[in-house]
Amino acid sequence: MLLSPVRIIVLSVSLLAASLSGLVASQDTPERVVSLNLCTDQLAMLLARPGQLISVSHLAADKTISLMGAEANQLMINHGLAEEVFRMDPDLVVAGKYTARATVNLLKRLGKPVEEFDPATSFEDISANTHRMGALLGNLEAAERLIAQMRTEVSLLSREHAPDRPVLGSFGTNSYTSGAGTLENDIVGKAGFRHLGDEIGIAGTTRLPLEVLVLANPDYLMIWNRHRTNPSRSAAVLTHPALDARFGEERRLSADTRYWICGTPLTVGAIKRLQEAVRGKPAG
Amino acid sequence: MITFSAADLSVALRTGTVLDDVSFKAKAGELVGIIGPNGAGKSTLLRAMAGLQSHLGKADWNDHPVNKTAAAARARLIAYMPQEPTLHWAIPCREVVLLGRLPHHGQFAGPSRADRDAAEDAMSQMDVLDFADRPFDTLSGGEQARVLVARMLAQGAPAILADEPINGLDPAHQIGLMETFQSIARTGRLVCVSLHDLTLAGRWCDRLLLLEGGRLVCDSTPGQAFNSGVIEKVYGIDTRVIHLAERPTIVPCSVKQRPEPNTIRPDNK
Amino acid sequence: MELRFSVLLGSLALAMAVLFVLSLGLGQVWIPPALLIDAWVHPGIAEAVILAEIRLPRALLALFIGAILGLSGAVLQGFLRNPLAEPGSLGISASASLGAVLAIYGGLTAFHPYALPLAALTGALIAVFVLQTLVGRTGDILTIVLAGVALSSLAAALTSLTLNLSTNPFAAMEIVFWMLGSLADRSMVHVGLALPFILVGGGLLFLTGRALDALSLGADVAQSLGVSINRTRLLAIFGTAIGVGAATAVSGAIGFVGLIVPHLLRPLVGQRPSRLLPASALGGAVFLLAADILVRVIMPERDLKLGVVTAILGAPFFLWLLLSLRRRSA
Repeated sequence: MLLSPVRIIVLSVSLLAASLSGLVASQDTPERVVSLNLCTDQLAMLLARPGQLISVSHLAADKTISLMGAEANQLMINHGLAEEVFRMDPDLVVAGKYTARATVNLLKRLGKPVEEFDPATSFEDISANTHRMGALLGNLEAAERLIAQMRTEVSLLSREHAPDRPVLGSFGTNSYTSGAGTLENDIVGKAGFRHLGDEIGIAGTTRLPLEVLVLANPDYLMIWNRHRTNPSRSAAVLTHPALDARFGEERRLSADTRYWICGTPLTVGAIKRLQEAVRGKPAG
Repeated sequence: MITFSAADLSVALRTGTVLDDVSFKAKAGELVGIIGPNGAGKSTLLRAMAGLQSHLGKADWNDHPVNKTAAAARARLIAYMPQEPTLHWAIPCREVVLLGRLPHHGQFAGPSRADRDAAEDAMSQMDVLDFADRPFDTLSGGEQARVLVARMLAQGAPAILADEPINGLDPAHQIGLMETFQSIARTGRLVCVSLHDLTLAGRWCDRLLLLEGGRLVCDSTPGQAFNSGVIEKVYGIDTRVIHLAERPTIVPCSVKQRPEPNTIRPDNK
Repeated sequence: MELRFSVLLGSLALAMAVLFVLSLGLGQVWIPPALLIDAWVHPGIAEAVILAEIRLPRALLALFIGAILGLSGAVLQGFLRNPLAEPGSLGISASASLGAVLAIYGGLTAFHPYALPLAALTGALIAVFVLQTLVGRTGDILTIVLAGVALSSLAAALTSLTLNLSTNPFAAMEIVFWMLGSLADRSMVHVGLALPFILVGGGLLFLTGRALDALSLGADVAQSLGVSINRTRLLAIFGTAIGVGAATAVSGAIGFVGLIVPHLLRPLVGQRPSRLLPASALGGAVFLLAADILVRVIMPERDLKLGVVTAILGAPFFLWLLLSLRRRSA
């Protein structure tokens, strides 16, 4: 008999199972993902399957701050406004902890799932964020692969515990520098330097008076290179004569901000470039 | 009929004692003139009578203390006009005068027909009907002064307290205002005005209260006050008193020569 | 006279209605506002949801916040007898901003989605009590102005201090942006938070109408007309604090509305303070609705801050005021 009771039962059960798993699978993997934050943009672009990520923020398309500008331009660009995002009919929105509260709240109110990511302050955080993004996008294997790759590269490059490590300090617009508990701290440490901010007791990102910097006299001074193209009064301090007097070309390192702003698996490039920059110097 | 009585009324401000044990009574039908040199306490007396100045002693309207009277009741009892009155916003004159009707219609209702009529009467009494719809700041000083007096008259209160209301008025309007005050008093109201002009005070007021240094030094009819020489003493002037149309008219003539202390006179070695 | 006033109020109300409808329709794409009715019937349609949940709260907030700012400006100018007074003069907006800034700095915004407006509201209400304490029972105008300046300076200084001490540049940016004022992406929750307070504050402010008229004759005469200066002062201060405090809590600091609108409308109401109140409420709503529409038309994708636009409109206003004063005295 073609449709014996047993067969019917087996067929039904397997159909049910298939549809259930299909249901579960489609619930697990969002198909229209919108990202509102530069860092989640890049992370999502690294991990999304083709067609899964439909929009990233306009910051991601800015080649001076984003490492994935070209990829971003293939997608819809959003400006972080709720109406715009809602119109895209996303089934998942990823945002940063500091994305506008009102926008995030409104999207949640409109029934859109929003996942907020804390900015990464270490390579451990990067691993965690990458893993989380992978899980959200249903692409854990890719995430794990990227994490493993990153870890290998980091351990190969790492000169964290080398003896006689030189001191490196960073100096940005408005005299900002970073210290302990920041991504910069982790990168600089792994690249084989002692971090000035950390050494002088700074935690987080805060202002460093020029005097203190000059007195502290780090072996190397890292200045962000983006601001040569975006002049502003706050960047004037970067061309202060005291800096030039103290820190000649051989002690100045130029850093590509794009690798340092966001914590993604691409951040390992910051270590590499920093070490290359130092090798290019007479003392390094 | 409204009555006022003050007993040992005193006001002490940070600058010193401004009113010192002032006692007098006044009642409806009287036009009382409050006179005295600058700083004698005229304005303070009027403010205390209006319930705008805290004081010691008694200041009773119809045997009820003024500062225990509710503001709304006080507003229906007393119309007050300060020295150098001002208007902060240049609203049309009719509206200024209508403000005087506030105690009658309250803060939440608008003026009634009766209120508007009262305002019209006041404006015609003060001869400002021509400016009724013009903004206040387009008027001359004297015209503005008359509008503000009209506001006070429109209030229709049984007691009127005016602090130097004739300042800024030309002679015709000065006389006109004193005539108006007198006829109001005759209709059964109490009018107290403070004046610098002794002549006007003498010609129109039924009674004069002379203040010096916060004390009431004279409370009598103008005739008695002028003849007693107290005016000359308090003001330090020489005067002549003449009678015009049966009213005593005082004319200040010259400043009294006061001996200066500690001068070495040439003939006293 | 009466007719002119009715015509003025009518025109302002009409302008407000038109701008409100326009505000609903404008956005990334034009949505016919009539669709709002559809939102009740077919709650699922995207356009209807956008209208009801994104644009409607924004338009409502622009209307009510503009109204309370205009109204409060008119009351304060009438009460302080100073044409330069505005809701910020009492230091309430600065205190609301301080509350919001402390919430951002302290990370409270992570704990509760609406921690920010609630903290700002708390700041405003605390400021009311501080102000009332400073002013005392019988505060005269100078005392009130000085107290407002003191409170404003203190709040602004503490806000700057917070910014200064912030080790997190993201938080610092969030603070700065909040202080520029914006209505972008506000929801009906914000409306529910602010509207009751705005209505209460507005009610208190409207009660001062006739007292303000009487006050044009000076404090003494006003008192002799039966007006209680104390009561008027309390109504003005509490009305402003509650209404403007709640408004600032939701939108950030939006300046100039309370200053400009009463000025512009004063000549049209014959300078009468009591008439200026409803006119300024409507005028403020018109002003802010227009500014918010401008914000969305000039830079549709970017979030141009509302406070920036009102400030940009404010500067030429002062120039115009200066020129017209000079012309009048010449």
